[in-house]
Amino acid sequence: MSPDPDEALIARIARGEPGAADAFVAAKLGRILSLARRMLGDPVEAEDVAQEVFLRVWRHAASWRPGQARFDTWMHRVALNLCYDRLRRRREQPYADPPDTPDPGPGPDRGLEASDAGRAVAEAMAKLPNRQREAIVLCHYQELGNIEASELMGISVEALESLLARARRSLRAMLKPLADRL
Amino acid sequence: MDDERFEVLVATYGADAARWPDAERALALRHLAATPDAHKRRAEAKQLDGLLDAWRLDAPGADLQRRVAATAPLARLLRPRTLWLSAAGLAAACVVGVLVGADVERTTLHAQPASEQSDPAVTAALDGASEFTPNLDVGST
Repeated sequence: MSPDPDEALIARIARGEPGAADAFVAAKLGRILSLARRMLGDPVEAEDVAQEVFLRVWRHAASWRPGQARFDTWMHRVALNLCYDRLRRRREQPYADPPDTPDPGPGPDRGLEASDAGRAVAEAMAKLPNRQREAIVLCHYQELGNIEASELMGISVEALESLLARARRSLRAMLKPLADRL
Repeated sequence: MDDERFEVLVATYGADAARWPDAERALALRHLAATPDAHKRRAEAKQLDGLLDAWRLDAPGADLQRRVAATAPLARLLRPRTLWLSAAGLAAACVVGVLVGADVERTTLHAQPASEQSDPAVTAALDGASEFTPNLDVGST
């Protein structure tokens, strides 16, 4: 396995070096927040998840031993577990369903077309089964490799490929009206 | 790589070769270069990739970044080097205390009534007090 690119910064955080936490947040918050927003479709819940992930980073930085999983992968796992806790809670509490219109990543600075497309994609993603959505989020949006994503999800590469292929097929069908308009 | 596997590959991972499995990328690109039909498959996948990319999210604001960074503990307060410095500071404070104490003692003795100063024993004691030299070597503490 290639060296963990976060190793040096984690060591600085563990030593309590000034500025290390700021640098780490600047590097990772967007990535973790995007993961949570796309999994949950709710920016407020996603922010809560991201904050909790970083609290765990501070707690575990000193005891982190490089050589196994990458720190970024570990953060993804923590974030996904927290997302699944919330998705489970929604299922158990009928009135805590996901928002009707998932967070489309509004862009007042963008054209109407891009905003519409974004909203349509967010809605289509929200309709996918959780595991299919997770596979797309990890491989397409988080740009993880197939081996890393399958390990993260605790499944074989073949199972990951099956989830991805079914998810993309569903998305293509759901987004066909949009694709026809473009 | 055959047509069937290439079709599965782009239907699974999309059109961007960077997302294809490392072990198959070179073979898939070679297949793409040699097979006109493969371009059609790739173009279909590219259309969906483009749609997925339309779901863009804003970067976290500076305020959120500050709030998250503020939850980091101030671990540097517990660093061994800092503890050593604290110990050295405490030792220096003790030495200053001893110096001040000695100075106060000497001042007090000099301020005694004149009748007592005439006593040769007291004079000798005062001479001794003025020669008090504290050990300032705290570097090793």
